[in-house]
This record gives sequence, C-alpha cells and structure tokens, in this order.
Amino acid sequence: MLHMLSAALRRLAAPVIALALLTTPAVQPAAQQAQRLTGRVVDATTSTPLQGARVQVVGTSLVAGTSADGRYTFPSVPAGRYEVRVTIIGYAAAKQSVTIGDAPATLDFALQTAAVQIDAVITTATGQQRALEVGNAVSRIDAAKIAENQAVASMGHLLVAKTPGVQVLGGNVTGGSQRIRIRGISSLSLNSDPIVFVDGIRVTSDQQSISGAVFTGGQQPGRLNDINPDDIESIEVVRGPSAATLYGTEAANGVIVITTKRGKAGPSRWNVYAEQRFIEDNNPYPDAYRAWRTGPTAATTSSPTNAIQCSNTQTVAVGSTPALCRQDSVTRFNVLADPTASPIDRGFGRQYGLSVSGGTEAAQYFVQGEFEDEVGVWKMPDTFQRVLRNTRRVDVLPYVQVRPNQLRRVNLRANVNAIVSPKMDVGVQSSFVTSTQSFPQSDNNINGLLGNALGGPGFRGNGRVGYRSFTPDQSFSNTVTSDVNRFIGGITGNYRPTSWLRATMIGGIDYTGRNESQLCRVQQCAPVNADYLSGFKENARTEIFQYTADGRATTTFRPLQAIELRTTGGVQWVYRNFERNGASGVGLPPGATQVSDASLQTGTEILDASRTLGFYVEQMVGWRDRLFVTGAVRSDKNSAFGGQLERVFYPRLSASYVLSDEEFFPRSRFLNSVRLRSAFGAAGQQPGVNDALRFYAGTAVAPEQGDVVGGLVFAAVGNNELRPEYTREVEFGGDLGLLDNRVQFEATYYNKRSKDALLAQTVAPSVGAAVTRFVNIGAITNSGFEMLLNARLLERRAFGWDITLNGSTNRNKILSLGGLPDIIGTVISQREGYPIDSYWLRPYTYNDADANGIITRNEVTVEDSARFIGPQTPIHEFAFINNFTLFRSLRLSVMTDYKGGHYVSNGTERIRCNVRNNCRGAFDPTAPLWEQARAVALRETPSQTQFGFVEKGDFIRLRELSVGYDIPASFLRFVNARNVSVVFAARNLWVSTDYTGIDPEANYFEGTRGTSSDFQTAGPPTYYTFRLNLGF
Amino acid sequence: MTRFFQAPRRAARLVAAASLMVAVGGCNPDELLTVEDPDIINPGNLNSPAGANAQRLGVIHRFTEATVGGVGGDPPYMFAALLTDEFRATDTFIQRITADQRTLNRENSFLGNQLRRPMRVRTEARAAVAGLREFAPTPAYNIGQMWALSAFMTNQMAETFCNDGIPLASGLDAQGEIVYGPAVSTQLVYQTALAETDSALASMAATGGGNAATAASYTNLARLVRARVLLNTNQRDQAATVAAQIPVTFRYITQHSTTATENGFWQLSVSVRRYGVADQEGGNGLNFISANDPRVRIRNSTAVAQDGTSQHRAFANYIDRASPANIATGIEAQLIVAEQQLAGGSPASGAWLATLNALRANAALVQLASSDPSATAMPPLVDPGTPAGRVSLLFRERAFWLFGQGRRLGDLRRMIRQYGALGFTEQTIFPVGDFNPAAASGRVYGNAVALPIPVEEANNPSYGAAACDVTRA
Repeated sequence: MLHMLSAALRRLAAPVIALALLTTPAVQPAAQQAQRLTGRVVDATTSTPLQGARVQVVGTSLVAGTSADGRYTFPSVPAGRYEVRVTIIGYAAAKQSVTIGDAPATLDFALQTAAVQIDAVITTATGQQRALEVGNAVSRIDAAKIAENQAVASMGHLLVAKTPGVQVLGGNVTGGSQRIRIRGISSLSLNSDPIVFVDGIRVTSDQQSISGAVFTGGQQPGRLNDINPDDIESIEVVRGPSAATLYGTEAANGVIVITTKRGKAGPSRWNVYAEQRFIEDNNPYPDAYRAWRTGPTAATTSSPTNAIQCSNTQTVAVGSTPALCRQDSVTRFNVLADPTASPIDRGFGRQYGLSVSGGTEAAQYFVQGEFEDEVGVWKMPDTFQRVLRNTRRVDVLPYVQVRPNQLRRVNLRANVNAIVSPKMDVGVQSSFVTSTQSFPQSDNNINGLLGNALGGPGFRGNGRVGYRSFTPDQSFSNTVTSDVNRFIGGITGNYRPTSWLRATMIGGIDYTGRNESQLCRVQQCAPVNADYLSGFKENARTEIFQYTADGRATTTFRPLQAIELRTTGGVQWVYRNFERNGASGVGLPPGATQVSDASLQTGTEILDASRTLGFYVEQMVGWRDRLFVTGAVRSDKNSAFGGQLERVFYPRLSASYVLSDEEFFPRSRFLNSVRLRSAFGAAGQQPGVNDALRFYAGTAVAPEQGDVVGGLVFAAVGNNELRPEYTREVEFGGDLGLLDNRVQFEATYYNKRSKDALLAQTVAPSVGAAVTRFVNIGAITNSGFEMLLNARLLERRAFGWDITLNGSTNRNKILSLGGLPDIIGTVISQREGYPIDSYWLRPYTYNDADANGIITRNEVTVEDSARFIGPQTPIHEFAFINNFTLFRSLRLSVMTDYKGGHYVSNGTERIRCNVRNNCRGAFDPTAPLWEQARAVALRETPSQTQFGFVEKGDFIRLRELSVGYDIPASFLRFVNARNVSVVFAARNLWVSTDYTGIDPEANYFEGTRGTSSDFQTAGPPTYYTFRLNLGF
Repeated sequence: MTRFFQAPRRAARLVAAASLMVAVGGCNPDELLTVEDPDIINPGNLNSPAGANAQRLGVIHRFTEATVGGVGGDPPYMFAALLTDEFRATDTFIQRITADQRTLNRENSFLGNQLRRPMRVRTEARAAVAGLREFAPTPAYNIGQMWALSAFMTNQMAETFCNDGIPLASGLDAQGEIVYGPAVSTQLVYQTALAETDSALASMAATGGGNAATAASYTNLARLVRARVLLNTNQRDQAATVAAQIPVTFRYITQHSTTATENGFWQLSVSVRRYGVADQEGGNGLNFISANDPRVRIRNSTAVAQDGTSQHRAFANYIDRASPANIATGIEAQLIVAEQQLAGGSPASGAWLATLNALRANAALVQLASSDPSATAMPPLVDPGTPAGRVSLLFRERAFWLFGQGRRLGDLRRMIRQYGALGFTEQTIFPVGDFNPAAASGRVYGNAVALPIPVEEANNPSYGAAACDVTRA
C-alpha cells in the first residue's frame, strides 16, 4: 500500500514540479533587489496586538501571519510598489501601499472592529482566498470560539443551526450519529451526506458507521464525531456544486472544510480546560392505556396475564353490529415516569483538555490532548439490578449492562508549521483518537428499550413492571460496543520560487480502525429467539484507509495595475479502502464471551476499494480589486465505473462585484458596502464500487444429499452504462454592510439540479435477479433562499448586544423519473413533481354522527386514493442568536431555532395503536375525537391509512443558552494565569410544537438517504455543562 | 509596463507547463484507478466444469430460499400459509398480520420475495442448464434436476399467486441482460411447468453415468411435480398414473448450511416465535393443534409469542436450524392416487379410503412426515358417507400429511375450483369473521385467496398496470 501511495505521490508531484520549474526562470529583475518587509498589526481602539492576522502582498503569492505581539515579516519582497492587505476575524480589512526599494521596509496597521467581513479569508479547493473574490456564499463557523464559550459535546452540537442552508439532525444518544443535509436532498438512492476535508485531507465521515452484523435497532456512531471540536479553529461549509466543483465527483452534497488550530509565533501558551456536564431526558413519553372488560367466560374477560380488552369502538353499536363489550375501567401507566421502573436517569460527562502552542517566526507548534467521557441517560433500574445480582449470584454487574450508553475518548493532536526557507514552508498536522463507545438496544428493535417501555399494557402488574415483552435488564444485557482508533495525518508544503508562483503539495492519510462487538451472554438477554437464549457474539473489525494526494500550482500577477490574474492548476487523487472481517458465534457456554467459545461459528470478509483521480484548472481575473471573475473546470475519473472509466468534466464560473468600491457609489453611514455575486458550478456523486458490475457471489450450499459445499449465485445485474450523478447549481446573491458596518446582511438564491440521478431501481421480481440495479434516470431540483443577518446592536463598555439571524428555505422536487413508474410505498413515495421521500397517504374525514363521543369506522370516510401530504425534510429553517456582553466580561448567548414546513411520521403512536393495543385513541373513551379517528382509520378501515399519524413537524426550540464570565485581570495574578473564564451552557431546554409524538427531531434513521422518523426513539436530551478555561 | 510585456511569455510558459502536467500526470491515469475487488466473482469464472457445477449448486441454494430457507425474509412456504388456516401471524409486523387477515395488498413489502425467490430458481436454473450442457454435460440428471426444480417453482407460483397475473417470461438472456415478459394466463403457467417436467424427464432418460439412486430421486421429483401440475389442471387420471410410478418411501428434501440458510420453520416459528400454528382459525380452519395429530407436532412454548401477548404454539416438526425439510414425498403421490380414486373412480368401493389408511398404518411414513422417530401408526379413517364429507376428509388428510409443505393454499383454491359444486367456497373453507378478537383489533377477515403480484412488478414495462384478482380461486 505504501509503495502505491509513494508511486502515486511521485506521479502527482511531477506536473506540479514541472510547472514550477518551467516558470521559475521567468524574468526576475526585482528578485535581485528583494528586501525585508515587516510590520505590526494592532487593534485601533486598544492598541492590543492582534495575533493570527493574515497579511498579504496583493498581486503576489506572499502571505504571512502575525505573531503574539502582532508582528509579521516578509523576508524577501521584490522591489516595487505594492498594496499590502490585512484581514482577521472581527475586524474590518485594511490595505496600505508600500514601496520596496533599496532598504528594508516597515508597514504597521491599526484595525477597526467590524461586524461586516466581506474581506474575510476562506479556504477553497485551490487554497486560501478572500471571500469577496468568490461568487458564492460561504459559511464560516468560528469553531474555536464556540467550543470555548458554549461547551459543545459533539460535532452535531457545533454545526446545528449555525449556518443557513445546513440542516443538522443530531444524534439523540451519547455518541450518536448526526445527519447533515446541505441545500436539500439531491439523490434518490445515494446518500446525501456532504464530504469532509480536514486540513486539506479527505476524511471518512460516514454516518451510521457500524457493522451491519452488530445490531442496535437505530442509534449508531458516526465518524464525524471522531473529530474533537476543541481541535478546530474554523469550519467552512461549501454549500453546493457552484462552489464545490473543484472537490470533484463526490462533492455534490457540499463540502465541510475543517481547519484545525495552529501555533502562532510567540512564547508558549498553555491552555487548560475542564468540563462537567449533566444530561437529562425531559421528553414527553406517552402513557399506555388498557381497557378492561368482563365477559361471560374467562376467555373473554380481561386479566393481567391476557390481552383481552374492550376497545372504544367495541363499546358501541356500529351499523347493524351491536356493541360487543363494556369497559369496566380504563387504566393507564407510564413506565418511563415510574421512579422504580424507569430506566431514565441523569447522564453525566466530563472533559479535560490541555494544549500548548507557540513558536518562533520560523516554526510554530500546537499540541493538544483531551480526555472525555460521557454516560447517557439510560440506566438499569435499581430494582432490576438487585434481582439480577441475586439471580446471577454476583456482587457487581458489568457496567456496560448497567449504563448501556457510554463514550470514552482520548484525542491527541500535534500541528507543526515551519518556514524552511524564504521560499518554502511546511506544515505537518496529525491527530489520533482512541475511543470506546457503547450503544443501547433501541428504536426499531423488538429487544429495544423504548419499544418495550412504550408498548406496555397500561398497568404495572403484568409481571414485567409494565414493560411489554422484555424488561431493561434483558435489553441492557445485550451490549453493543464500538472501539475506534483513528489517525489523521497530513503534510502540506508550500513552495514560492518567485513572488508570483506558489506550488502546494498536500499528502495525507486517514486511517480508521474499528472494532465492534455485540454480546449476549448465555441466559442473560431477552428470549427474543434461540440465539439470544443460547448466547451469541458478533465481532467485526474494520479498517478504512483513505489517502489524499493533492498538488497544485498557483501563479499570480498583474499585467496591468488594474488587473490581477491568478491561475491554478492541480491534480487530486483520493483512494479509499474498506476492509472488514467479521465473526459470529452462537451458543456460548456460561462465562464465555468470545466467538471462539461458541458452538456455531461463521465468518465474513468484505473489501471495497475506490479511487478518484481528478485534474483541475482555475483562472481568476480581478479588476481593480472589486470585480472578480473565476472560471474553472475539473475532470474526474473514478474506479466505480468498472472498465468504462468515463471521464467527467465539471465546469465552474463565478463572478463577484464589490459595487460599493466604485467611485460613483454614494457613501453614507447607512449603506457602507455592497457586493453582488453569482456562481455556476457542477459536481457529481458516484455509485458504490461494484454497482456498475455484473457478478456472482459465493454461497454455502447444502444439497439434498451430502455435505455443505460452495456454490455460486447470480448476485448483481450491473449496468455498463452507469454514469456519475451530475449536479449543477446556480446561485445569485448579495452582501450588504449597513450602519457603519455594524450590520451585515447576506441573501442568496440557489437552484440546484441533478441529472442522471442515480436510482437503485427495483428490478421486477419476475426477472429473478438482484433486488435492485443502479440506473441513471431523471432529474431532481433543489431551490431556495438563504439569508444571514449579523448586527452589532449595542456596543458600550457596560453592555454589548449582537444578534445573528440566519434562515433558509428549500424546495425539493423530482422533475423526472426518466419514464419509470412512480415509486409507491405505503407511506412514502417518489413521484414526479413532488419532493423526494414525500408522504402520500389516503386522508380521511370523521364525524361523530351519533354524538356518542366515540368515533367508529362508519363515521370515518377515507378517500379513495393517496394524495400528497408533505415533505419529510424541513422547508424553512431559521436560527436566531442573541449575544449579550456585560462589562466586557460577562457573556450571555441564546440561540433559538425553528424548522418547519415538513411532516414527521409518528411511528411510535402508530405502532401503539396498530399492534401494541395501548394507545389512548383506541382504548380511552375520553380521548379527543381526532385521536380516536386516526386509530379507527388505521385499525378498522380497509385502507389501514396512517394519515392521522403523519403530522406537521414544525417546532421552535431553545437550542442553546450559555453564560460565560471572564475573570478580571486583577484577579489573574493570584493564579498566575493569562486568562480564566467560566462557562455554563445548556442545550435543548425547551421546545414548542404541535407535533403530538415524542419529539419532531426524533431520529430513527432508515435507508441510504437517512430518512428519519419517530419510531420508539428517544427525543433530544437536555445538556447542562460547566466549563472552566485557564490560559497561562 | 515591463511586467505587461512579460505577460505573454509567462502565459506561454503556463500553457506549456499545463500541457506537461497533463501529459505527465495523465500518461496512465488508469493505473491509479485500477481496483482489485475480491468480493465479486466475474461471470468468466463460471466457464469450466467446476464453474458450471457451482452454478448448479447455487440453484439448489435458491430453491431452498424459495421454499423453506429462512434467512433474509419469510420463506414462501410460510408466508403463503398465513393466508390459510395453517399458520397465524404472532408478531406485530403489519405485513404478516394483513396476510393472515387475508387483506394484504400489492404494496405489502414482504411480497417481493414471494415472487422473486421462485423466479430466481427459474432464471438461474436456465443459466445452469446452459453451463452444464457446455462444460459438464454428464451426468445428465444434473440437467434434469435443474428442470425439475424450475418446474416445481413454476407450479408453485401458479398455486400461490392470483390468476392470470404471473409474468412468467421475464428473466435474463444468455448475456445476462434483463428480459421482461407480460403477465400470462395461469393455464399457460401450468403448461410451462408441464413442459419443464418433460425436459427434466428427458434429461433423466439420457445416458451419462452418475449415481443410479440420485437419478431415481431426481426422476421421482420431476414425476411428482408433473402429477401436481396435472392435478391442478383437473387431469386426475393422468396425475394418478404418473404418481403411481413414485415409490411411497420417496423423499426429496432441502438441507440447510446454517451459514447461508436456516430452516425457516425453525427460525420463524420455534426460535423467534413470529409464526404460530393455527387452530380452527377463522371458524373454518382445521384443528391443527387440538387434533393432537402426530403429523403436526406442536411445541407449547413457555414464552409468549412475539406479539407479547399470545400463547405461542410453535410448529415443531423441524427441531433445529439445520433440520432438513420435506419438499416432495411418496406420501403426496399416494394422496394424488387416492384423490383420483375418490373423484374419478368409485368412491363407494373404498379404494381411496384404503389408500389413505395404508399411509396412516405405515409408522415409517408418519415418522417421515413428522420428523419424529417415535411416531407410531395412526388409526384408520371412516368413510363419512357423503361426497362433500369424503372430499373434506381427503383434503384434511392432505393438510395434515403435507403440513408446512406449501400445499395448503393451492389445495384450498383447488377445492373451490374443482369441488365447488359440493359447497366448498371461500366463505366455507378459508378463515372468516372477526380477526384475532382477543386483541380487540376490531378487524375482520378479508377475502383474498391468493397472493397479489407485488407492486415492485410495476418496474416490468411489459407487465402493465393491471392487478390480478386475488379473490378468484
């Protein structure tokens, strides 16, 4: 493997070096007169040195950063007259002219604070660039600040509601995977996850990342959570193909670009932080109901040990059918609210981190280590623990059985940057994480906790304390663990042979080693089936190698003073290798926990590999530093297409115009800056590695006589004509700076269209082949608006008030299914002219005609055919963030967000009415008529329509609240600290919704696209976190 | 100005550099894209005697999946039995509940497998026949076995699915490309099955070495399928003639590797308790439990069924995951003979009853049917004395002898079709009335007597939108 990578790197290096060598001998008269340029960057108000500012000699490739004392240095600037630009977050960019002559020059800057940052620097596929030069809206998340001030526990917490157009559905258990959608769902059959780069290295970001043989029922880990939020400096979200073109074939769903923290020149700075968090589940879980009756025989009389009930509709005559029974009483019970039976407890967690950073102008370092653990809210009730200890005759139960949802993780990071020579710098980034997690049996799972808690009989005395079939001790004894060791490392080299040429090489690896197990010791788990009774062990060991090699060269020069040309050419190679060995054992003797102990042992082996090779070139033309036009194209080949290896081209064109820089633009305090932008681009998405191929698979065969032998079955039909999904996008927008740059407003319209949409088309069963076959069909669109408003409303010494309002809309539509028939499901369908995964159901009306307070089937009228109800994915999303500052040391931040326009399947209540026979609508005669009607429509009409259980999912949530206090400097000397702050943060404190289920953000995931629903699934827990930050 | 004049030269260098970059980097990019994937087996690997035989074995695997193989979904023998009085759905999956309730529609997500699995046998059997002919033509009975298994599935589909709705001509061509076919009449499906038995028996008759016992087994399998097809098409005399050639001790089974398949009855009824044996289901159902008949063994589990409330009654003829399952037996052949004796001969002579009683008197056959080595002979039956009573008794015997062998749905439909004049209707022999009244479901039985063609078949452009009638026997 390494020799292959080495060969690849050599191959990729060749064109870049060739480009550099060819251009290096260009006329360099000025180089012989190069001089040193230095300076200092400070806050204009306080004269405080600004560390980390980006200083660029405009029209060249020369870029430097400021050290802790605000100083920067360019060792060698060719003679001439230049403009030097300085940018840093929170300040307005500044630009000054300087002439480099026969002596070293000095140029200092004093920057004004500003809410508006159209000159911010962002990371693109071709390197760092000013945001105003690109024609796209770019979202930047100041992750370092959020992690420090709002105490996030996961990447989901970091990303949720922070940027317009990005929908994050968080994991609702400790360590659970979140779902991220950017500008809607673009594919019918492929996943819609964005791809992720960390410091230029493509990394694995799989959601639901656990072996299929290891079963949880729903909640699973995600690889994005391996990344420590405290390691991150910033995150940029590239929202769509109009910006993601140069990321290539897999970037159609957007790109998350993560930049980790770097050291800055200056003395060593030590930072220590510690967090303690508490987790509560305050979700409204429904009561279970039971309607008791007395019949003429024991077989028709309710008892605690049978299921005989008298439903609401059986108590009244229905047409000519007389009443069948009379309810003696109706009981209700909520096992999750019973203090002796409930498995919901307070979860807790802690986090300790230590970092040191610093260095000289020649070399800087950042080193950090962090330990974190978290225990989720589920706990085996004490009464069950006692019984279990007695039954097993042990003093202590395995902790993973007592608390089945845990996370323990250690993160290490070391980033080093060095200036090797005036023309070359090198950066090495590395991180290692080792973690162990455990996940409970949950969601769509007969053994799952909530399925049994919410499916109970409506009274406590059923012999299982009110649980349905299995109790928490049985469910929790079925343990799932996931251990991960992961290394992400990369080297970035920048070579500037001349002031106008910059060559960059990036090479890196992301290695993930996963070890997942599911264990049921003999006679400890729920008697779900024979395997559970006899004990079983599943073990899967997975290795994922992902290599990235990226080389590019950028030339920058000004043929005229008014014109700046920047050309970038590059090549990128990404190789992903997925290998898994799995072992299963059934029939464990007492005490045994390994596959090798089992009486029946089987094994599996999987290997998937894919490679992408892309070339790209980009040309930017800048005019008077206010109009920027960029054209680019990327060409990709990918191994997923078998022998066809079609080359795909992805073009991009964007324009950005800073209208307010024109002389004719009227200056006023109200309107300070105006930028107009537009972009067009395309990107793709590839199918699975074998989806294009026709092949057979081996299988064990037991013929009618003799021993088991190996046979071959037809496994895949394949499709020689398969092409990548091709998504093109156009966006228009503008950015305004208002009221002395105290207010920033951005608005963007986007329209994204995917053609050659990849569909796992169901092969007609009569063919007698594979279940599905990938085909390119039809088209899908996503369009919408995005807006961002940042305003510094008040800025006084005693009080400051900032607000951020971001919002987005998304309209998703299947334009064409390519002539295929609509894909009809019982609840969800794919139909032309409607959103992907939209709800289609047969609606009903009801009328209590006999006014007896009971809705019966003859009082429910169901429409003859299904009609469109609504989409699953929110159409509107808004977040409103208020930041208050008191006396510059006390900070209060409140974030409220809204999602709406979508529908959620209340699968929990549906299954309770349909087959658990314990929902209020069917068994409590005092239930509202609407609740009765939906139960009757489902249970008693021939349509069995679920219409009443698909509900509007709109909600407003108090997502985050944090209070931070910076200890005054006068006190710091007592602890010899540079800075000390304390933070209290809370998450998911309150929700307002008309949705009647557990929570509209319940996240039982289904299918490749990750459609979500509420199906015996926990809602979002509430986090309370205390954090202490110490700087030395 | 100097910089301005340098621009074209730099541009030229850039173009040259870019060209070199593409030339060097792109000289053989395919090398960087080549991936070896051991997960898959290419069609070329089958071009040998061993490859052709591996493909034949694959068809046997597919056949197990299409009958009682219980990995990856409900095996057809079990799911179709929900529609009858053989089994009850004892879990909370609505797909099984509506099948049990006889209200299932074509959107039922468990249906796809019910059609796909038997069609896989047909599709892959044809490919195997081609491979065997080219690379392993002897012993010829291997080819005959492929045709027999295909015929078995063709007949089974006709018994199970709605009339005139099976798109039998679909499949894969010699190059592996998809071929779509329209729905054909059930009569044509039976004709096809008959033709496949012709091919099977012709192949058996060909010379070509091998094991005589194996050849006889495959021959009897093909004969039994042929007899069943003839019986289904109301040709009882011919059916009995073919069936009479089959020894009463004949038994063709499927076995299970446990890694790729398990006995579905064990898995879904004994192990996971999702299927329970029914007793007088819907009033009309036979008393499979309360009869205490040794041919249908019941395990009264101490655990409740998977629905959390029902007492579970597992079908216990198959005691573990690897238990072989009966696919075709000489018992069934004798039952066909008895039916001809009853319907085509002289009922009063008692020949039909003697045939039935001979089976009951043979303890070895009871043991074979029940997989219970301790089973003993059964007492003789008494002639009920009426035509309807005699037919009822014959079909009751078939129900108990062939319990769990995927025959009951076809039998009930055939009673309506062929013996309707005696009063056998959907309302008198299928479960009817309140469905699972103990659960206060408020549901009543529907009127389906066959499985619909699944909605997934809409992806067959030759099939059309017409749905066949599941209420017609």
